[in-house]
Amino acid sequence: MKTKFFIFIILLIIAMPPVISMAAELPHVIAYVISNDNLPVSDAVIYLMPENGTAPAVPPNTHATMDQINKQYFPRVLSVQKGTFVDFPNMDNILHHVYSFSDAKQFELPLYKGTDSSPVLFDRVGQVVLGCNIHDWMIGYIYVLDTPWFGKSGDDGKARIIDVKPGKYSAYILHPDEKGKKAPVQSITVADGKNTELKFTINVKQKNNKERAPSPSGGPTY
Amino acid sequence: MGFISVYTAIIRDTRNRIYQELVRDASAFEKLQRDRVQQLSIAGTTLSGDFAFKSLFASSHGDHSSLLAALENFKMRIGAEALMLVSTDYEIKADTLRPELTGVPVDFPDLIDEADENGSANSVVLIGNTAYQYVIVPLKAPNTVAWICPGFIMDDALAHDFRKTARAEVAFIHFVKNEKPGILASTSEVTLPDNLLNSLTGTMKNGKSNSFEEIINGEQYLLQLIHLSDDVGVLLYRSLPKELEPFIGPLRLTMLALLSISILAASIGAVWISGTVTSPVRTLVEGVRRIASGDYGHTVKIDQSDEIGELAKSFNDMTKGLEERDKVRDLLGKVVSPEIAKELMKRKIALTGEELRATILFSDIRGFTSISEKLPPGAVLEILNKYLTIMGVVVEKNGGVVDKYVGDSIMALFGVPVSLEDDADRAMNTAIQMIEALEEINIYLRSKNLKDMRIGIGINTDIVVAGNVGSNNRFNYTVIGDGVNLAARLEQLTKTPEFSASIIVSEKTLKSTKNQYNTRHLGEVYIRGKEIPVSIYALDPHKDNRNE
Repeated sequence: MKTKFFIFIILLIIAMPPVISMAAELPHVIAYVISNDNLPVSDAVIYLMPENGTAPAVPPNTHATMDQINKQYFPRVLSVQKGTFVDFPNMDNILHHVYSFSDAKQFELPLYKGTDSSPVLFDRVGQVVLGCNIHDWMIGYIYVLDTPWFGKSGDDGKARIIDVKPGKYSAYILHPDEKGKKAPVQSITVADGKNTELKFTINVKQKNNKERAPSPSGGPTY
Repeated sequence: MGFISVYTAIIRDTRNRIYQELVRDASAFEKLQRDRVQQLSIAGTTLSGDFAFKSLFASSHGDHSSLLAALENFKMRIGAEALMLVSTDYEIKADTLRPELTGVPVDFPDLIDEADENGSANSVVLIGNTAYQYVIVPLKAPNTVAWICPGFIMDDALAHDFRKTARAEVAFIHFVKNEKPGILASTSEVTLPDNLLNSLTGTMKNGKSNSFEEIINGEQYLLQLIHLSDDVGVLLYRSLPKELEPFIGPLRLTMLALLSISILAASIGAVWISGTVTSPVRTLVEGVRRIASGDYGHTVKIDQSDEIGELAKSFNDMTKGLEERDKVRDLLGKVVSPEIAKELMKRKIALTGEELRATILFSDIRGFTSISEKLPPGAVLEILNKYLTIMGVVVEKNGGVVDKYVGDSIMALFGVPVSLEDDADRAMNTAIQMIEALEEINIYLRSKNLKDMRIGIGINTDIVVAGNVGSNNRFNYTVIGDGVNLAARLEQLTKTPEFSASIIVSEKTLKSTKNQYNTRHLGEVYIRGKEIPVSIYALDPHKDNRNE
């Protein structure tokens, strides 16, 4: 008797990893974003909303970071799930004054340096546009989303959304520079065991260089 | 003439000056406009960065009153006359000019697009019947959340303001497609005529500032049009007559004064000239006339030290010369017969002679010596001169010339220096008339208780040498030759009692006569050196022998 139990246990142990691994391995969604000119678009935020049921809530005390480096916001585009705390460390050795008048989050972090500011809770869905009161060119975007499944395209135009529970989803795309006719929602089905790919073409206007700090020779003039 | 040329020059210069000043003023206006736009632009941009304003806008959400109040505040702060806030959806959020408006489409959506494209925009826009210069800048928070539009009004006040520095009238013109342009504002009451306004429309297309000339209300105007936008322009205009006024008035006065002075000067000059030229000339003319009529003694009295005075002096010298000459001729005429004198004066006096056919008459008083013995010398001369005068007259009356008087003898020439066809006849008649004239003298003598005078006359006709006999200083025009001697001899022969003839003529003379005369053949005389004797005849003075 003891031996049967022992063999079962050993078999179990041997079989465990694949099962465990099979149970832990979730598919990814890879979105490829191009512009009307067929060029890869970076800073595009792709997010998935499940067609059935709701997405899981954000774990408590989730933090994200929006840096201020070299008088710029970094990253320019940040996506977080609703309920995330965003830290705004000031990596510059000069004062900044973060503000936003966006409906999703109207706030300001008056003149401060370093990491003295407290994190800000983003608890409403929407686009938050960040400015700096004393540096007119500084602009950053935070997309507050109601889903954990989101990703941002890099310079190669590719966004990776990892660990998506298989199922049917609506895929949305957001981009701060999107103009004109918005890219339509896409329905995708995330299948088990393999990655899903999708493609977005969006109408992006030229990123104007007014979002740069003025060069020593002169500055952007309005 | 001077007035006209100066007048024309002034008009031309004034026109040029006005034209240049208009062009300059147009540039000044455009610059002023640009400066205002720049000012508004900077103000707008500053406002756009105002955190308080950004906050207000973000918080306003339909609170129009709060927004409007804030706009009023900021409008004052930036010194604009108008401030409008426009949404990114082209809707007016608030407008200080039209406080009641909100949520309506903006009047200039194209301008918003332009601002979106280029970062800002500006233009003169028409809202209602008023033109406004607007500047559009984005309200950045930090991205464009609205459009801030500060502006100023192009009204009469602005026009008058500009007029202070410009010398022209200013009008803002509104151009409407296919319609007559309208006046938005103006500094002058002058109504711009329709044809002018319509012609302005045509020029808006080329987009440049334009110069015109037009007659408005009868006055010539120079105009300059500035294009501010497609439908708004600024017209600067100046009246030429008005500009000329300050010059023309005094100019006219000056010219009138100069004209008067010059007329006066001319009149004075005329009078002066009359005095120093015309009058003396008249005097001289009168003098010449007098001389022409023979009054050689006349002199002119002109006391001037100029050319006229010199002329007068010369004139007087001339008359003196003429007078002298006349005296000489007169004298000469008394010494010789006037005809000879005239002949002598006419020709250059020469000693050369010429052979001429002449009839010579000699006369002599019988027994003059005995008469003269009984009388005082004065009386003798008186009688003699009386006789010579009377006989001289008779000779000259018959076209003869008294050659000389030798005491009581008379030598007369017929046919010399000028020959008349009937010289012999005239000599014969002379002789007869001389005898008759004697009676006149005898009457006088009888009255003086003196004996009657008797004369003897001899006449011969022959070729003789006529000319001036004598030296250069003293000569006598006479005839010489045998014919002369014979005439003298014939006269002497009248003393011969047997002949009882007071007039003896030679056959040659008789043969030369044309008329009939009562003659007696007396015989022949022998002339020295000649073989053939000459027949002589007595001429009877009494019997019907007159041949006038």
